[in-house]
Amino acid sequence: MANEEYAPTSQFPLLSLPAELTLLVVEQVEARDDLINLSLTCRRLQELAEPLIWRSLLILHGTHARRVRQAVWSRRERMDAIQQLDIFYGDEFDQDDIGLLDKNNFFCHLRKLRHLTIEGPCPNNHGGWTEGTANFPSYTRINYTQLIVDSVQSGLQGFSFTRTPDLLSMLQTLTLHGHRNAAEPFTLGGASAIFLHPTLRKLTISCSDFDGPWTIDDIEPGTLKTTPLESLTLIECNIYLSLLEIALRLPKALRELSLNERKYVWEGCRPDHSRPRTDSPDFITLLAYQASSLQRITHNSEPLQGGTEIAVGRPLPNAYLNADQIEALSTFTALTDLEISVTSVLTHLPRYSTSLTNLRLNDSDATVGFHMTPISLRLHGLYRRIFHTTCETCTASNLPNIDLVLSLPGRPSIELEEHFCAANPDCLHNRRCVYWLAAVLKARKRRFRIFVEEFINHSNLRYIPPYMYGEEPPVETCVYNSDDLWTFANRRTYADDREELDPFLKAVCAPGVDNLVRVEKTTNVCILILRTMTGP
Amino acid sequence: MAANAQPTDAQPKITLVSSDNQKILVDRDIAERSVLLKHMIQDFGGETPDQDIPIHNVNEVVLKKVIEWCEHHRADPPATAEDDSDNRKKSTDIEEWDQKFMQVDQEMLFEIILAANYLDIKPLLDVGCKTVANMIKGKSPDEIRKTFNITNDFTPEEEDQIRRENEWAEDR
Repeated sequence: MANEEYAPTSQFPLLSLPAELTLLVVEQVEARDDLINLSLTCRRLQELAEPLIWRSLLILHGTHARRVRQAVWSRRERMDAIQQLDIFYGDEFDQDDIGLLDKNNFFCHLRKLRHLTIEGPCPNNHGGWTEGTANFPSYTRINYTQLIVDSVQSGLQGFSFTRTPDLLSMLQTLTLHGHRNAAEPFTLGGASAIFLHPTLRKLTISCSDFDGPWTIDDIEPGTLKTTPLESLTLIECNIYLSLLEIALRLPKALRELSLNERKYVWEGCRPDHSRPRTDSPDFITLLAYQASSLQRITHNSEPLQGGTEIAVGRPLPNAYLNADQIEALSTFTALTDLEISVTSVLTHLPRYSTSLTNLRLNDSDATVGFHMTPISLRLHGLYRRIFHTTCETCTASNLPNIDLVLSLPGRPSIELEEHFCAANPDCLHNRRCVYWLAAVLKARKRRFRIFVEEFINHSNLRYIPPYMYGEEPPVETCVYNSDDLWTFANRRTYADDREELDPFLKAVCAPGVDNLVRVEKTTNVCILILRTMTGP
Repeated sequence: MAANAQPTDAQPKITLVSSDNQKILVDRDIAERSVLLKHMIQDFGGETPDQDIPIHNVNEVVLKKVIEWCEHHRADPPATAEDDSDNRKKSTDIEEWDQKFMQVDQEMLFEIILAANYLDIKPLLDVGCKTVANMIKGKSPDEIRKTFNITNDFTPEEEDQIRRENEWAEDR
């Protein structure tokens, strides 16, 4: 260590520095253990070090909860230090003690709390989710419904709330992944009052029925377009438009929206198909309330029966939009990034958007449960969708960069090699599909890439979203990039392909040839029919 | 070397006067690493002042040491206005030259920190504070007390309780 080379010749008078400089030194101490040792030296340094020790807390089981509660009551200043609180707990230890962190004895004293995560045990801890037989008796011991209801001023007609002073009054980030209680694990219910929260900016909710006891008619008109919420993420939720309307009409300017319909269902969390959800064109109408501010939208729709067939070419169930919905699609003036699954109603969006720069498309809604559809068929399906949503309809000026994301079981990088790199006609066909699209985009100064998602961890475990504490999320690997047109899996370059196809691709991409129109699959060969457009 | 560092002889010079009345001639761009001096120079209407600038709180030895640091860092990009302590980049990594520069006795280290604060040279202040913070690393409370001449004002029971109450947590 450097400081041993010049051992102090005398003592450094740390406490003789002006107070603000002593604090600067303490703030440079990174390790928690060092801060704790510092807090033990004398009262003055305890006062400076403890706010840093207590700024961010991680609670993993009931014993932690018990000790935290005891410690903050023994020295109340610690409560004011807490800015971030993450409660992640599995099934094992003292679950009921987590409940010691209740509203009256704990939360309403954390006046400076800005970031809160509550995660209860989830099906990833239990298994059964791939077979649809997941059964988990657990639920969150934190009564978050009460915390939320008591932290908002009523903006709801006919519902009276009494706000508890200081409770979550500076909250900026909230992540909720905890089943509500044993009887109604998936009901969001009163917690949906969170959309009235006066300071919240970023909200993530998972594994819930996104539905509430109120509708837009209950909202006082004066509260519409007033809240500071900027980012909303829903993961593994059955999303109902009645609450989504509230979520989209209360914020002043939402920037990021990520809606991920539930993919893994079992008894108790099956969606109610009789009510409007995000597969309805009405979803577009609601989304348009935030059209001037939304920069990033993600929409992964519910897996459909026969999803593969739809993906490979059948029209969407809601392919037909009315004039108002089509008009709404052209109002997203801030949108730059769109990530959707192939059956999302938002596949209509790119053709009407003038600001979109990146489109990411996945077929997760057509491949649930890791039932394998051959990759060539999936690629073909994704291609059909791309042609329907962009190439066929976008002009050269509003064509976005395009990424395909394939989530595959097993070892995708190896599997992809079989589909692209083996010496057989199928592989050549698969590569040709990629070249056409890549060349068209490249000629228009756009980019085309293919990604695969895989779980790279030692125990070879795979998880379902949301990825919780201790769970490694899947890793995305780029297996194709149009910058390097003739190279697959980032290493194998096909010189023969180049010789054969380059002249034709150049013709395809020549100026004046503004659009690729149809891809037909005939006897395993992709035939491209070119049509010269008369102009955008 | 950055392109904006002009040859020394072309630089306008400024005369600083230390608290012990010693004159030190420095290039203007070196002096301007100090936000305090930069503002003072601006107060002369942007002209290079021809009168001496007194530095009341820093003696010659320390001032020369600080100027040595400023000379080495004369071409560094200006610090950003980012001052949010939440987002401040924390790092006990100190670049090699600075580490050597800080190999001074404790009194000098103390004086450099005070001078950097007075002259408002934030990167130097950070290096100084990091150097002191590194002296805390891996030490027991007793060793920290010895290093910094701190008198323990806790009873053994209190110390025990603080340890118990702070040590419950797991590292992230």
